[in-house]
Amino acid sequence: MSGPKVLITRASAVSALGVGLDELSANLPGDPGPGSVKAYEFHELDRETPCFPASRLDPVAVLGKKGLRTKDWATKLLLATIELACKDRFDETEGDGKPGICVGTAFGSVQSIGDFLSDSIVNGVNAVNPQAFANTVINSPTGNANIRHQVRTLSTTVATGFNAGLDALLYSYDYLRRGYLPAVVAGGLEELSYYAIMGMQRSGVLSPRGLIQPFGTAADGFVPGEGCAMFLLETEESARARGASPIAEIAGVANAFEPGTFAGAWASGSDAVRYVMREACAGAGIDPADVGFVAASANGTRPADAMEAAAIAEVLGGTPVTAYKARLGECYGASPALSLACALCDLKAGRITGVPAGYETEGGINLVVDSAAGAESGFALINAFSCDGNCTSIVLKNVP
Amino acid sequence: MPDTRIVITGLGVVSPIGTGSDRFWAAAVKGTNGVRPLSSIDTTDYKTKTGGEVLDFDPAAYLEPSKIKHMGRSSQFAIAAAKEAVRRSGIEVDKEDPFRMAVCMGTTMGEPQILDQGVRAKYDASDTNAIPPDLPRQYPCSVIPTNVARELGAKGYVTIIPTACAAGNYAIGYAFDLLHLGKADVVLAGGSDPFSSIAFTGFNRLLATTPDLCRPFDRNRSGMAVSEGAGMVVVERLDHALKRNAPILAEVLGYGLACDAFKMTIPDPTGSGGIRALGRALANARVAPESVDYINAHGTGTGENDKTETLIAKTVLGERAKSISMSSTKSMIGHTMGAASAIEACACVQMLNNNIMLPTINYQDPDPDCDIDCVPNTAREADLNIVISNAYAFAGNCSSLVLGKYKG
Amino acid sequence: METAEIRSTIKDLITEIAEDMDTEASAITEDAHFTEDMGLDSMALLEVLATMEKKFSVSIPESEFPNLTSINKCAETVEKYMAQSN
Repeated sequence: MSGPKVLITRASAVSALGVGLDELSANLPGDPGPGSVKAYEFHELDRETPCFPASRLDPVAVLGKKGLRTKDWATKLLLATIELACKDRFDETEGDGKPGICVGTAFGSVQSIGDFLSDSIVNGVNAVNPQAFANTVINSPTGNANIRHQVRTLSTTVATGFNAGLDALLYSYDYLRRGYLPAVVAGGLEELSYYAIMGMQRSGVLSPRGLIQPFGTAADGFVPGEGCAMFLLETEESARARGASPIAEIAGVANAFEPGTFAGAWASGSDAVRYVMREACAGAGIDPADVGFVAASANGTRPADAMEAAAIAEVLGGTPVTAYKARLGECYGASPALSLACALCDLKAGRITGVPAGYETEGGINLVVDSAAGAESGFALINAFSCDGNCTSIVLKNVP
Repeated sequence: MPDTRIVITGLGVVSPIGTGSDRFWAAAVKGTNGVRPLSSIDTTDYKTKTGGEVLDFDPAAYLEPSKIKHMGRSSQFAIAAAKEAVRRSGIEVDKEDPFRMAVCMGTTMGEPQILDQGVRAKYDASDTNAIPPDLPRQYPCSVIPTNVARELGAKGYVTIIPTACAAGNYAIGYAFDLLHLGKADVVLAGGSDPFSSIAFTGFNRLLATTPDLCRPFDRNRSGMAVSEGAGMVVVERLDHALKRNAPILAEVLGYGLACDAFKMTIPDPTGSGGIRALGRALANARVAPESVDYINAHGTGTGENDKTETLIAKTVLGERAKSISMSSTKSMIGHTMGAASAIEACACVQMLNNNIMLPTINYQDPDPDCDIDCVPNTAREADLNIVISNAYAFAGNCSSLVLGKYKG
Repeated sequence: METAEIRSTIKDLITEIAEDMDTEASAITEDAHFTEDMGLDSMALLEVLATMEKKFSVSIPESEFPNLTSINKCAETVEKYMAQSN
């Protein structure tokens, strides 16, 4: 159905590639390589584990000293990203004029949740810090952002695993199109945590070689990462009324579920995957052939990557494909929002940052290695496909 | 599509006073107390020894044995409630377009028992290899709606909104929007939460749990009772329901969301979020305050909530608040977290159909700060046409859902 | 443990909490009221109670909670229950 145009007027991101959108854009073509993590407060991983931490973020430098004492790392990542994207938008509006907040995250802070539990086991149920309990709800980072900016209009969290970052944008897109609010700050967030990494280790999804090679024929899993990307979404009317220049448009969105997946095993041919890519294009009013490039969901999990490659080849033919997870790690709920931020950077810079050279890749798709010149159409398709079967695609349109 | 009407055609409930919406209703009308000494957790070190547990739940009644071991209790509850709701709605899944059947859920803790099991296994064995490799992927709360969708064959939008203890209303509200936006024909919406040791420990530590019974609106109310359960509804467009001769149980008229932006764990005593949410819900539903017949309160039984909620009703409904009834289902089933407002939505639908208001049990001593008619202790007949269900949560999330009797 | 030591341990914690909440340093005195003078909320007070119990290995009953209104009152309460447990 038709509805108001939904524009992006602000964006920011925090990840292994830096703090803020400018740093992301500058560092994207480089190759930072993974860092590593081992020890946490209550637990230690059995070895140094390769990962992509957002270690360039100094929360105090962005947020000041006050109000951070009881906040966990996930909350600090979110607060810093929102602060960079649109602190002034919150400051300049009062009460019901403030944009809402909607965050996609798989876990909230599972570090806080697991540590609260561990503390109660180790030190007793009457020794836990009551303030730490507040951090154990999945929507805690979002709520803290609402409190910091005194936002009473909306506080929503969407937790569809690997898809959460895009699904939060979809939720906000729908909320705007229903006319409930003129603007929502939305995106994706995920922290690296002992519990998530340990769970991934036990599940056998991490690369034993510590390499993340999307669409790689010798790929053996992924390397985890963390970060946050947030966008100010607003209706065209709202942006025009306050004289704000749009930087991009959420032109088409689609979501479906693939029941043929279970416990990470993708059905070889998923009609839901093909469906969302076609529907997102249809929503944007474009033919799939008009898509300039695809930001794939691929992360080095071979059956899923092969499935996505086959679906892209069928729906989009020889359209250039990239996979930003090669440079940021698999950031779970934050990943698709970070992919969208990377696509935005590439659209603005007139380039397509591909996967790093140095490994054999799947045939059948036009995978960009190193980098390529930007596509002229101004449209990028961002995919998110989870091991549980969630399928989301968004068509992003550059507004020069 | 301003003239689109959205209706509820099926209900499913898992609760401490009965699994199955008929058993739940029969027990609730009698004012049954489901807050009892806990059996699934060792309460030795806790001040509070009571809470709500679903003791009669048998996952094998809803799931093949081979599937049960691959999912947590939250998913099992959700599937049980979803299957009941689908059965009652008469939807024949194979006659629907699977891409237009959505699942939209809410939760507070997700699958906390999975994390509990994993962390305890590690401590007990001092070795992460003691954690079953299949366990971690059962933890992310995203698996709750995907397990439901897989079990029912839905291929549409599958999502989960973990906005803590108001999540059920958020999920039903989003279902309402997805149908209005034409993104689905049928949405299974609701909430699920199993008993969580983290929540039980945390609320104990906040001194928020009652040592015995849940007494909302009573002067001597002593706190909330941590509980568990699930509620699911089948929501669809009226024309879609009529076309398949579905039983139409109630109409979803609208909803409203807001946030206190005050404290993570304490409601704003001025009711800033709740007032906004209720006001927006009425506006969204195009319902005047005078038309509201009943409110199903968030009614946790804590000092702060019940007092603030009374203030919210009086502020938004004005004179009408004096004559309106506002009862707490949590007095009977305790606080089922993210399932609470989903179960309460089911209770509201049943109240509309039976013209009976469910009681607030354990009520003895009126509190001047909560001077509303809470339908004390005994269910009461009333001509109900428009009812509201409030739900509030950690992080200051506030929500109100407006449901109406379907009269053709 | 000496009274002065108990008092200074409590003061350190209160200072840490109050500074995070943007309370003026001059408002943090041993007799200042936690909520009225320093702007602490009930969550922070629960943390103070929990931390005192842990640091001083005492059990303070919930009924004392309303009396924990200043650094001095906290110190008195801790001493009372430490004496009882001895």
